[in-house]
Amino acid sequence: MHQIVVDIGEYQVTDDPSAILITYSLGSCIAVVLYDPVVKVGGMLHLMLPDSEINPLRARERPGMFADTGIPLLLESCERLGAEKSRLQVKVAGGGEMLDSSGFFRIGKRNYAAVRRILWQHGLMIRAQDVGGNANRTVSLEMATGKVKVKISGDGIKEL
Amino acid sequence: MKVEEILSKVQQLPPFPQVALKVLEMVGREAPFKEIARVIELDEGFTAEILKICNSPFFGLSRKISSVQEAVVYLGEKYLLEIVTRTASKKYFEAAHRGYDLQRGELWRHAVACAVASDLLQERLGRGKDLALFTASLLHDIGKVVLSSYVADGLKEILERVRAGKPFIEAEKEVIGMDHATLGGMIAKRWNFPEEIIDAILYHHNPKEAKTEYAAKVHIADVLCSTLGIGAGNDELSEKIDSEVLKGLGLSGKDLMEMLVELQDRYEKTQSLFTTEQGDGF
Repeated sequence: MHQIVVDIGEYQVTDDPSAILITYSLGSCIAVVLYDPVVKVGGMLHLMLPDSEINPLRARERPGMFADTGIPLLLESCERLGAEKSRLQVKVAGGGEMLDSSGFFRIGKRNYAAVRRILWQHGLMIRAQDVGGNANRTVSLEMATGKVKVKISGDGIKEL
Repeated sequence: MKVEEILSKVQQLPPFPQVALKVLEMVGREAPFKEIARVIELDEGFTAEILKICNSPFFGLSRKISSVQEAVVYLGEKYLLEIVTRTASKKYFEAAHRGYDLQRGELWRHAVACAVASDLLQERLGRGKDLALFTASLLHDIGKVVLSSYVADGLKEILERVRAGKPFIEAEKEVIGMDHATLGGMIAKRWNFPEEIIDAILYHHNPKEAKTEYAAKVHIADVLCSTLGIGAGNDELSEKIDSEVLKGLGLSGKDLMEMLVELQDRYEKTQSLFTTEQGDGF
């Protein structure tokens, strides 16, 4: 088994059954995980922000930073490795937030709203998720089985 | 008593390198750089680190740099001073800090990212680089270094309170009798840091109570890093955002989002030089 680390604002796809995709400490960022159980192709995106309009130049160089540019790329890359959209299992985790009584920043919620909208636009339904709250999450995808695990700091590991 | 035991641990911390303090003080009174360089050159450790960075592939220089006076031509004064501060601070942060669920290197990454974020904030506010702010941002969580093992012991109780909606720092105080910001302020005082740095460390989660604007700026830098999850551990998302402070500096939600992009970019560029590699699984 070998580990493929997905950095902030990046995505990785693979068809290697011995691989584990992992992304660390999401904060308000969101991990979008796609997996086709038939061909065992999967991918993971660690997006930071909802909308590439925040910095269109960076979005061209680093599309994985934003939900609207990252998700389509993740999907295409999985399809290129043989995944079929109709078979894709979509799982989403992250989008935690600091305590913010004024609701001034709410970046986790904005990210999650964008992720839902863009997945929907591409005809993808979320099968399982663990989002929001004050949780800081680490997420992994085991390619052999499609198991997605979420570790919440201070709260143990669960399977999505 | 637990608090007395914690305070005795503070006494055991190795003192902050005198050269770095001296440099900070000289920069504060705008001493000429040549004099500052002479002070740095007296310390073999700092000189070696500066030369190592200057001669690293990152800068791609064709000839070898062999003195601090030469290095400044390539690095610039501000960056060179940053290297001194970082080199002085790194050893305190590098270990794993299990109480906060941080693997080796994670608290140091948080410190560096926060210092980078404070630079970006100064730029966005149209102000110049401020070494004292950079230092305060780098050291804002120094209290965690000592408190981590006590947090680990009381973690169950702390997390119960956090789940009931209490900020992590308040839960620390209730369960252990001490919190990481108060302790950090004590450490900075013991190390003879200037008042604004002590104040910023002490109030980085509670900037309204601070005497200077430094605490507000460190608070914002901390919020940006925690939002990106950099060294956010089990506690950072369970702390409060003070939106009054953000508004007080004229920052909008859009400003913050733009700064997150800049922060990630600049942090990555410096990461290769200053930090250790990413974690080792769950």
